[in-house]
Amino acid sequence: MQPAVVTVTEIGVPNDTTLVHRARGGDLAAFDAIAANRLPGAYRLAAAILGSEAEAADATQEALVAAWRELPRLRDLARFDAWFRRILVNECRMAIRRRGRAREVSLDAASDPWASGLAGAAADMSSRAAFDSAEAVRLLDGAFERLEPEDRVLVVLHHLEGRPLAEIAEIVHRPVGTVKWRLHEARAVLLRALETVQ
Amino acid sequence: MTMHDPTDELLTGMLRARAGADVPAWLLARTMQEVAATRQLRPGFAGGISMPRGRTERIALLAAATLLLGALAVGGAMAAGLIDLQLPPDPTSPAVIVMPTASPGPSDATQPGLAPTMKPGASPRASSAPPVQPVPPAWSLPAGWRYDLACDWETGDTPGPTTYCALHLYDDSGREQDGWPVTINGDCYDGVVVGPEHSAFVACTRNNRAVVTGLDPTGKPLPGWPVIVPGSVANSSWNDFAWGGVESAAVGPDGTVYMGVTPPSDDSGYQIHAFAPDGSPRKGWPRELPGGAQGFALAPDGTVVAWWYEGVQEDSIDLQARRTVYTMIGPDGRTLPGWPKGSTGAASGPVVWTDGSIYYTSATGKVYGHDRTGAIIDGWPYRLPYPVAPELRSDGALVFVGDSDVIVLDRRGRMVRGWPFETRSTFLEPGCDTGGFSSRASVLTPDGTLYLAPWDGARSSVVALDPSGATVAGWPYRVPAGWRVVWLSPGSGGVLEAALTGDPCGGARDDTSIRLSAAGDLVGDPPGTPLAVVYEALRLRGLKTASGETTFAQGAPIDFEFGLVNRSSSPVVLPRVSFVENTDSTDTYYASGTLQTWLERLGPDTDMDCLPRADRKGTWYAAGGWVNSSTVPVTVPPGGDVGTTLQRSLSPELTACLPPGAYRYHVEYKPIDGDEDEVFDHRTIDVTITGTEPSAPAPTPTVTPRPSPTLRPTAAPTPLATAGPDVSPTPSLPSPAATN
Repeated sequence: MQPAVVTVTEIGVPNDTTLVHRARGGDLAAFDAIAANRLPGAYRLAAAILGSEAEAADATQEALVAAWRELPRLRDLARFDAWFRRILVNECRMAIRRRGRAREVSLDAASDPWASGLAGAAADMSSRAAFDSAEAVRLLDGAFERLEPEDRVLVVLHHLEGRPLAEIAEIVHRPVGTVKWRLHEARAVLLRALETVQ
Repeated sequence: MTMHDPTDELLTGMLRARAGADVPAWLLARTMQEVAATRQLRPGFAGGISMPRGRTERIALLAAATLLLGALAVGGAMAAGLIDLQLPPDPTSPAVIVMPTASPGPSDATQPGLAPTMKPGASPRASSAPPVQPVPPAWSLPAGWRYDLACDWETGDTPGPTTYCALHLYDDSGREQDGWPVTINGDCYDGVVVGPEHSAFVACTRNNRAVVTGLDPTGKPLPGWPVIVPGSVANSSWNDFAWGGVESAAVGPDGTVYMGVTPPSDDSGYQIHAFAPDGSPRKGWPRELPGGAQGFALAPDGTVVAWWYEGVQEDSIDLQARRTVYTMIGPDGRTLPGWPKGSTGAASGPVVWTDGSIYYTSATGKVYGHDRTGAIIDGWPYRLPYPVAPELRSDGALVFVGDSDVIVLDRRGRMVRGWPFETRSTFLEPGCDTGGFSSRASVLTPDGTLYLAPWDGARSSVVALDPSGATVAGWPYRVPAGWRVVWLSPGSGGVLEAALTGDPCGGARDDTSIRLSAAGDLVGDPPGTPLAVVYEALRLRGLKTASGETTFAQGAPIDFEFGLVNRSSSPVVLPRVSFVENTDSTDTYYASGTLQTWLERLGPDTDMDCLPRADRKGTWYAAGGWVNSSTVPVTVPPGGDVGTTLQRSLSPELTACLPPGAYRYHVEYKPIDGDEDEVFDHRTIDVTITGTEPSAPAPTPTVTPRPSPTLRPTAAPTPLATAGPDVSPTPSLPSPAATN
């Protein structure tokens, strides 16, 4: 049953339309507040897609600068977050394209903070199969690095951020059916990478 | 028990590891440095729909002063480059393509002279306030009709967003006319300029080309249009010594269409193009403007008033330059005798009166007026206490809104009788860390009424002053305590809209607005209690299980109940708060804050392996968070509850996977957008989960909401979401703490 009046609404991203409005008018302080709110989430999204701290920082910065530059021409201020997310994933896709697909991922935890993170993720899974899990995570990471940029975006938005297909479709400007199919294909690629340890 | 896909867990773990790096501490500061050095792209048409806040009225008045428009003017520039003819056919194939040519530049002009020196002994002199007679535009639609340009942002494979626009034509009843809307692809500035015979002109950038589309009232392309120039449609910069201050003016009485383009090879370049009504380029054009931060407006006779800045400091937040230059260009593209004129430092943008005279404020606060010959008009300059850009009232008076006073001068530099208006309060809009630059909360309406929002340090109010400087009857309006006016803007039907914030520096989500009638009366709902006050007043009450038991078997649901009560001595009226739900739909609700729940396993082993995706705070696992909100207004009297008893659950699937043992369930009351450490109140309850059925099974929890005695709903409530289990082993959404 529902409460009589006060209802519960799962938290989404707060929409600070007034700040956006002020930033749209050139108010740097307002945009600073917007950027401060979005930057951590944006950085982590970019980091998950790109797998590189430096590239994630660049993509986040580029996306925020682009958002500032283009903001006066955003008509529906209430949709700022969806619009900004779209800019950000576009920056990530371009970053991947710029570097090609030849990036190598170091597995040396001592020298690569990302490898350390992966090892930590595996260590969290305190089971007797910890070693296999750690290996599986590394294989997944390698397979993920070989995905098409668009597919990486889909996987991150769906499996990390938990966004529904319809929302992802809006972000990447693709039909829902296409998103569903590509996610399926991407997941299949990742699954094949695990076959060696299962 | 819920079956978990180990692959999904591995995949999620891998992604979380990739995303889990700490955000570099320098990233925000460095990003803002880049942002501060980046110019915003702005609409570039006179009468533009989406102008910067606080400038709309200035633009309207500037347009009114110059707007005998039979043409379109757009700021811009052009540079060399080949033109690709393979443009999408919308709405017709291009009729005119302008090839770049060498710009004559201002070589036929005299060298800019320095700003005239301050006239000794200049002091306020009184003159009578002239009657206010708004200047109507020469070209306009019938009363009530309007063009509307609606654009959607999309991204394709090309870098950066692209706009897809539809131009509508509505009659006075709001009905779309036959032949409309017309689709115009490209990054279109959201202004539509009305030309002769109700025609419309829209400028868009598409594939590195500036395209101006001309349409007749039936939606058909005008003969000779569109015209295309390599580059992108440019904006006019208009310095107002504060944030933003970018606008563009349009005009031209003979049907000449002016367009500006930023050339593809020079981001700071700026050229003004002129096209005849048939789309053909006017002889003598384009004209290139040197320097940076250029802009132009048109005098009613078609004279182009242009300005630019020399020695612009690119790394400055506000506009800093070595010198400002103003000039006038005739219809033949030649600089008029006596021009250009210069002013040391970054002076304001100019306003243009119907006789072609211009007025501006120097970087040191001296106001100058020049006639069409470039000569300083007798009576100028006038020294202001500090630099304030002029606003042109529709009767030709110049209005200067300072931090705490208003000066109104006639075009001879004399103080208009009834002015200045002075107060001990400030008109500066609330802002934080803006380095001393802020706009003033004021708006000047076409009838000459000046609305101001003084802030006395504790309370905002809104005051209306008539052209003679007298307070309009019914004003001022006292804004409810705790709220501060952010900006003012004219609404429809003569209503003034005032945007309010309860927390100017904290970015709180209770930004709202009120509407005030011309008589100073509130129209619609009052703004409620600011969130900062709500947060001080509300506290958690009575956390317990619904059954009263504290021992539960694995696989049994655990339902919790608690309340949120007003502990202050004053009623709390929940404010309207806008936020996006998971569906990305946005709406405004009456909200009281965030309630966040956590589950903590007591004992030496604090891990809960079956919650791999739950966000954590130390040994606490996130168990769900939500914004407590209502679709109808809610007033909470002192001692009263916010709505009904609140309920949350741990699902059977969750308790089934939890190891037997002791647990602590936490409930936190937090701000809507606060971080995990920002908590106003905290309650806990300990429960035990057993591995086998307890000897006396706990009764099945019954979720029965209790009616609140404190609500005053006047309409049937609309549930927003189902209050389901707080957490499951595979939660589909991250907890609030995970969203940032």
